[in-house]
Amino acid sequence: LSVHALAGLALLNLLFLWSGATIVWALRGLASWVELARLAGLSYLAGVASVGTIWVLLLVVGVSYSYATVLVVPLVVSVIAIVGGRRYGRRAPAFLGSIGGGPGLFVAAVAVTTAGVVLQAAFRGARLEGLYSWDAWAFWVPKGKAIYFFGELDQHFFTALPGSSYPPLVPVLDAAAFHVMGSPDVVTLHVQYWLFGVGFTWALAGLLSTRAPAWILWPFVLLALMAPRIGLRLDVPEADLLLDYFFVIAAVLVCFWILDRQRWQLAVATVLLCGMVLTKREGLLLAAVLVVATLLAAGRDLRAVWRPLAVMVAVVGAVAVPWRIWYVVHGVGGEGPSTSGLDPSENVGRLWSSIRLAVEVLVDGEYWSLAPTLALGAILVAALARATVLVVFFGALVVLVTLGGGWITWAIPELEITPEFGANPIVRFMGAATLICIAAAPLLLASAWSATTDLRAEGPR
Amino acid sequence: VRRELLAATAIVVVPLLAYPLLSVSGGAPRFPTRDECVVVATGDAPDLDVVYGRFEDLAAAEDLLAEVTRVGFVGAEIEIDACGRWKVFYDGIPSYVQGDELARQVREAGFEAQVEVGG
Repeated sequence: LSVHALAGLALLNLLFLWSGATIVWALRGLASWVELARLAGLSYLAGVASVGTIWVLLLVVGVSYSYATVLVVPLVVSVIAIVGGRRYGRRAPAFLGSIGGGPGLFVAAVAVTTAGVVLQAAFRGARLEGLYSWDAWAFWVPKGKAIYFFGELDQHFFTALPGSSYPPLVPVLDAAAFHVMGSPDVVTLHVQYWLFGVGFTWALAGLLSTRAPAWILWPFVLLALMAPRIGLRLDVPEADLLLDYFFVIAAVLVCFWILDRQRWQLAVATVLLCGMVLTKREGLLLAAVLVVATLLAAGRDLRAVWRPLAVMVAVVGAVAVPWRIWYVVHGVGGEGPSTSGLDPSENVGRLWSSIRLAVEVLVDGEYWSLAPTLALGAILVAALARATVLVVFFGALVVLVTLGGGWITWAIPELEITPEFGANPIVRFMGAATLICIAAAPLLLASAWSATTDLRAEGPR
Repeated sequence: VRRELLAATAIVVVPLLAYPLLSVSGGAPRFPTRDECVVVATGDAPDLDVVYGRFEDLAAAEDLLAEVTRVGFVGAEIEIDACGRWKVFYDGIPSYVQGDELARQVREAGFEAQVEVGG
């Protein structure tokens, strides 16, 4: 634990931010510096996903993972993005831009301050936190140490540890942090995960701030930080929350793409989904859920959306395959359930118990505070206001993720029907549904609010 | 608009600077030292041990254990302490007086020993 370690982490995360910002700039263009700042969280997560994905692919094909790899890959990504952006005629932000005014500005200022104080408090914990989380010390961090020390996916080590088929993005990010810190400092490593949490918070607020008024948006952002299972675990060096961050921000972008049809939205979502499928096994399930929800929400526009969606699926699938080949070649058991996992008649009683468990976990305030309950209310309000696309998209996501959680428990007979962490991963998995609720609620309520204010503007008929 | 912007900036910047400054005004956070893993006993306490030595290296701890066993202090064992060092010690001392007596005999035999509160 030293200034050197913290400075190294700062460098690494600036590289993530820089490479992601060049990607967002190349794909979207950034007109003003305020816009650049608003999308800085999105850029950061895009940087983590893109650079991390390339690191994983390089490791899988046998390229040595060294300090040079850690530094060169983000720089190469940014050079490619800058060259591509220039070809598309992108220009540097030309003016400062505006952050608006009026009461909304003050609501946002107070909320940013509150979020900042909460995150500062979390930082103080992250700065001194020992490696006590079970999965973190049992295999995530040891795998990161192995990559750091050996520079490769050591066959014996990776196949012997628990969770040997889990994708290696998180260990690769840990190893990158160890390189820039100068040692496998498992205490300061918690700061890296705190930074992922800050990036997600910024990405969510930045993306939604142009679609929802500050007084609707910020209570939900703060709710995310206050939810015990999220806010108290921001710094835990495990894959669960990072997986959820990628999923939720990608889902928000895909939602905007359904509404706006701007290609950059789907392109950046694809980058995030590539990171997601290399973060945890559940990433594949969540990617499938997102595709189904998109097809349902697209409705009559199915013909227009299926081709871009197919390209997204192809890219994400292509990124997911090499790791799966690696572990199959090295004799590691697969990541699917031990039963067929597809025939509901196999064990109907267990199926219902599993789904009920997933629903109970989703609405349990001890894990997620009020977030899912409020979001379900927001879905109802938005349905009354006929915000059909948003209601179908987010409603389908919440339902499908919940069913997915139930399916995991049902399809793996070794899992007990219990929310106990050691016996069933359902609480970890349902974080994705909760964060989707938190992202969806401001959009749903804002659309209902704008519908009612539009009606008022029209006056009595 | 400029006045609004300045006020909003102040709302954000002032607390975000003041909070960490107040938090660290009592001194920067620190890690416990390795010495703090050693709690020398001064009287009866639960879980008293007589500790013969602490080592970075397991082999050195095993050498000491063999030595003290050879001269007759049997029943000692090796355990890693909370600070990551190998501790050679005799567990299960029922009272401080008894532990102090054992430590005195061990020291007379040419080794180091002190009564500690285990942890």
